[in-house]
Amino acid sequence: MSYVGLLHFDYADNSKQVNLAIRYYFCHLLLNRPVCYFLLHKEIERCATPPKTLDDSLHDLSDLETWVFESSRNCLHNALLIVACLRSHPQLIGWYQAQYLIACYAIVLQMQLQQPTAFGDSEDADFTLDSIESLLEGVKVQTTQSRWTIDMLRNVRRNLNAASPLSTLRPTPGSALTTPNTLGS
Amino acid sequence: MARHASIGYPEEDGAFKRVPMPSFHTSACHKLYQYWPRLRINLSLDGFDPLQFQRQCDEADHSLEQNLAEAAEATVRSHLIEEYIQRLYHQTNLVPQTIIYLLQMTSTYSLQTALSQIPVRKSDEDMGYIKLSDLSLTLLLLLSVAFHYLTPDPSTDYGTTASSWKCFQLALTRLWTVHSQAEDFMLNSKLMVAVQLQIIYGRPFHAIGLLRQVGLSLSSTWTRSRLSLGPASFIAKMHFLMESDLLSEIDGQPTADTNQLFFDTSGNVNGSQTQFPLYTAAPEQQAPLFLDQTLWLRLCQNRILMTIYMINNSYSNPRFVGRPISDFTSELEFWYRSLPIELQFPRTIAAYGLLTHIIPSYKVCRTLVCFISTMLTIPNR
Repeated sequence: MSYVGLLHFDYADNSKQVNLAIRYYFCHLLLNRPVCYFLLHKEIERCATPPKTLDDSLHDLSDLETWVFESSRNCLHNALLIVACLRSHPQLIGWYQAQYLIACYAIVLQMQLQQPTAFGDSEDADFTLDSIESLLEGVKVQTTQSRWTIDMLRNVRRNLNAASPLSTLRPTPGSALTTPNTLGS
Repeated sequence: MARHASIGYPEEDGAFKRVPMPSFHTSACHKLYQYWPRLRINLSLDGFDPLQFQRQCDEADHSLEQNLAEAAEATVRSHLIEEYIQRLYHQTNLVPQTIIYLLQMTSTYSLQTALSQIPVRKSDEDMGYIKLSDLSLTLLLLLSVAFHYLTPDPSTDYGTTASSWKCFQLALTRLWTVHSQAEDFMLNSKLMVAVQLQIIYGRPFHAIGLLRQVGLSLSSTWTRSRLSLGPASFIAKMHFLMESDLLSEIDGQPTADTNQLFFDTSGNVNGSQTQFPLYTAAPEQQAPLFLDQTLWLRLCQNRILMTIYMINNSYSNPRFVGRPISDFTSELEFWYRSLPIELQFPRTIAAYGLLTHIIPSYKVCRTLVCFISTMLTIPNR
């Protein structure tokens, strides 16, 4: 392990450290995820349950405190850290780490479309999403489950991007692939 | 989504307090694609159910049962067995930590045990080849890991991934034999199979089934009476760690009462440090300390699930989660600061070098520092 200033960190000789780092990042991601959800879905949630009582005024979003944005950005940044850490140690990606990547993908994808300013000067969101896809594809033992996971991620990404007014893509109508519940037949 | 007015904060003040895995929660990563509305409405794969596909795939995948006869006839050069076993214990940075704990903290999977089980062959006998089916269960499970994670020697054309698969297939066929063996061997073998099913083969539902067997054995007074505290504590911790990792992502019931070996009556960790481990031990003796650090983070994650992700507060207004976020963040900060410097890691995207605009400035600064250093080393003329 070596420090090169503060800007580069080499985990190469320490899988213990990677293990601790990833779990630590994920704790922060989990902690801040409800706030991130709130920020990303505030209109939907408000439409679903219009305020009626005084208590419901707590759901009034007109005075969102700064910390809500800060917490959502923490969630995003920890997702980016998980991806970067696993990108430098792809051999350590097992089923559990793949689940982390699935969550990171969802958060990066939605933040990219709805809160792009949260990325600040960090790496390009599309690059992060591409690298998650290739990390999952690069896992040595590919199962039906892992292939379906990648299909799911790509399908959602394409459709969400297609829904953007700036996109020329069109939503995919469905998949011609065999669904998991028909595999056994 | 259910709304709930308040979130109770746990009263426990210690990180190692008894925190069972909740039997149902909403934090699983793949569930985002069901419960986050924009993701769900944009998922258009015919017949695809984000909540069920993992179980459906796990149950429908029979690949580990296929070509067993071929696996039974497969051979390996005898010198490769020793070479890969040796490398496995020396290149631990290439192998996931959960597997390393089993290698470094059990006698079942120690290097000495592994080397003693390698069959002795004369170099001219069978042209130096050994059938995989002649190897012991322990060796098969170790070679399955070694062939999977260690980079093959480019000078040989040995197909390590295929051999890893065959070793694991043969180990599965041999698993029933552990039931006549000593308790610690049986439980460690089941843990080793479960960890590989989970990490390498992506079969979480099969892994949780094996872990349930381990949990039930640990609950038995008979089993516990035949295990000394050290192995019992290790197996209980590994069981807790692996079961929590699995049940974070798939629905299931945690095994009851297995934590008695792990936690004492006051809720502190049994047979181990109760707070933050110290790093005064020699490097080869530090595995238990790293396991405890991992466990601390796992317990912290369980507490987060219990506090924020139970079904009755699956939708949380930021005003109600602000306090838990603040408290957990402080605890995580305290834990991080307790780590020795060689285990600390960057925690911001700036420190990790993910900020695009800093890189050029950083390079300029480094160049300047190097230039100044060079100038200072030039003797005065």
